[in-house]
Amino acid sequence: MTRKTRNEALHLIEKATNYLYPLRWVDEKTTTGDFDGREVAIDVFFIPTTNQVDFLAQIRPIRGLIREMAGHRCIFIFHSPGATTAYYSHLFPVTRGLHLAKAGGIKLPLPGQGGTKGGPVIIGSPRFYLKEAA
Amino acid sequence: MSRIIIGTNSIEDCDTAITISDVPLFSYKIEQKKVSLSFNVPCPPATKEIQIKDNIIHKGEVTLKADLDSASVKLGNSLLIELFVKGDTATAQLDLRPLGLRIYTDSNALYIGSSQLSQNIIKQCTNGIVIG
Repeated sequence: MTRKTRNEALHLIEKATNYLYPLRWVDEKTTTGDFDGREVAIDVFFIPTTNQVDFLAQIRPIRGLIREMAGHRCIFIFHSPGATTAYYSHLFPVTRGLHLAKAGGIKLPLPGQGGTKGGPVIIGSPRFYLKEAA
Repeated sequence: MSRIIIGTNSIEDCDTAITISDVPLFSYKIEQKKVSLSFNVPCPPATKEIQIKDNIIHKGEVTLKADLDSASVKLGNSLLIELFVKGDTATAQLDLRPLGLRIYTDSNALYIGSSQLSQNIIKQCTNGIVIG
């Protein structure tokens, strides 16, 4: 599957679920463990257990198309908000308590499909007081 | 001093609070005892373009409501932006997900893609938050 196809598939799912949950194709570098279908597995982050059935219902109309694009049935791996924070916090940078003055501002990349990449960058030569950041 | 609170972040005395692909997302002023909102979302990166200037919709099938101390823009039933103004402070709630952009606020933070910004103070900057 090409990168473009993978992005398109994620975009379809994001659209069908109203962009509620960050998604990505399972990453061989940061997803531990091995299992059948790893290459057609999609991580769904910050999804409460109670919303998983709704998620599957929302993507039902496009599952055939996704399957066609992926060449196989996809596997969805649901990560609850707690599990996402506990095991995947490195994918979701948090900037908290930054006091930034007289700079260009904070720059972030455009949210893209499979949006778990990119963090904030401070523009210019600021004066700042970092109280707490993670 | 002018201050915009967005997802618990305070953006003070900045030329623009948020820009997306170099386009200022929103600004406001008080005119004739009413909030006058300008709101622009470029396409791309959004799936639909929206252009509102001083409460006049130039592009986008959206509805706008404005009164004495608030203004909001809806796409269908989805609230894209809601602004409450009190004195020199405006509180903005944002949800651009219906436009294909994972940019939204909740009571804790401003979410931009996979990043989360909360309880930050950005003051006297050219742009507060620059996206793209």
